Amino acid sequence: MTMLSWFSADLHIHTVLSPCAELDMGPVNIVKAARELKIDIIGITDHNAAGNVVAVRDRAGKEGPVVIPGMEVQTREEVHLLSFFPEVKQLQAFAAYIRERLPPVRNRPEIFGDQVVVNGGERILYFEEILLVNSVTASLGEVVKEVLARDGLVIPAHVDRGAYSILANLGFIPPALPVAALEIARPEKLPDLLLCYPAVGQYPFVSFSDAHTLSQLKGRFRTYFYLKQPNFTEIKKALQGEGGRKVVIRQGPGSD
Amino acid sequence: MKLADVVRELELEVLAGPDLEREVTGGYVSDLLSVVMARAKAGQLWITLQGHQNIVAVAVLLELAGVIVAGGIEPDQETREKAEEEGINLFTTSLPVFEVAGRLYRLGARGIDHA
Repeated sequence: MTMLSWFSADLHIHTVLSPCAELDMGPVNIVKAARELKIDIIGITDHNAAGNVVAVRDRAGKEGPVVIPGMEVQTREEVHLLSFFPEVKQLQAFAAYIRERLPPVRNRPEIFGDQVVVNGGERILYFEEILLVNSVTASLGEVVKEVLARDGLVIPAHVDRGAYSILANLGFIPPALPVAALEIARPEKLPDLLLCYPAVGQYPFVSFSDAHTLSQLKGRFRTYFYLKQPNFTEIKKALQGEGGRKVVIRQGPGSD
Repeated sequence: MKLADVVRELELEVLAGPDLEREVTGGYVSDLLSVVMARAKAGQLWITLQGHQNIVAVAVLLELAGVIVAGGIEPDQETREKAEEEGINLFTTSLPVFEVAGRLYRLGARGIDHA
């Protein structure tokens, strides 16, 4: 029987594919920083696209960190939703679904920044031309259904922010929405959030860096999972509190 | 003014209209439901681009006169069903939000009491 142990995780990281991320957020630097910071599991979650997940996973290789395939979707309600999948192939199928629902607006790099798809060695493969920081035409409910149909899980992002947040935009978490956890940007303010939105207390909380720059990877807070193995399935079980698995938020190396 | 007057004057499409005799006491515009919950008042007609079913719950909570989903946005199917269930007046229009608010104002609706 495998014992449970603690794994540090940062499941909300942007790469150079996100126009708002800095150009040094490539696979080589991200993997190097994650190793230095002793982050065991990372999630690559670019806006409405997944083109750099394989590159980061290739770069991480056997040495790690473990890379969970993911995406940060912006639904038509302008809600940011982290979605994660057991395998890259499910993410890629989901990415195709999302791409068909992106408005046909071209990126203007001089305003938004470049959207770069690279390989594991940071060779540029191509520039994504459709603007990724936009709302897709699918609703929150539809997007969640598509993620779950591909064995994924969803975590509404930075619910405590004033913008792109499920709580700000929709007032409360729709009761029947199957969300695995809520991401909170400022865990130190959780008591205030619970005062305003008592119902969110029923969900597990996680806190990730939402890093767009290398220095942000330090993270003011870090989330730790108590798991048998560092993988998607175990994380899902931990969020459900299954078999002694659990999740906690602690101060990160980037805290003041 | 009654909701039925607004529907006629603005040529709104009625998705759910259980009480079109309801008096409209004013108007409110926002797409952030958290802000609507904090600031809209009972009897107001709310204009938004959000088509998510939570708009019905907010309308119930605040006892709004109704909700207009503007800009040609199609509300989610669940939203229509919830509106029927909860007895909330729900409308759509292809007019942009600014135009809807302007026409509503011209009909006499106000956003603040002393205006």
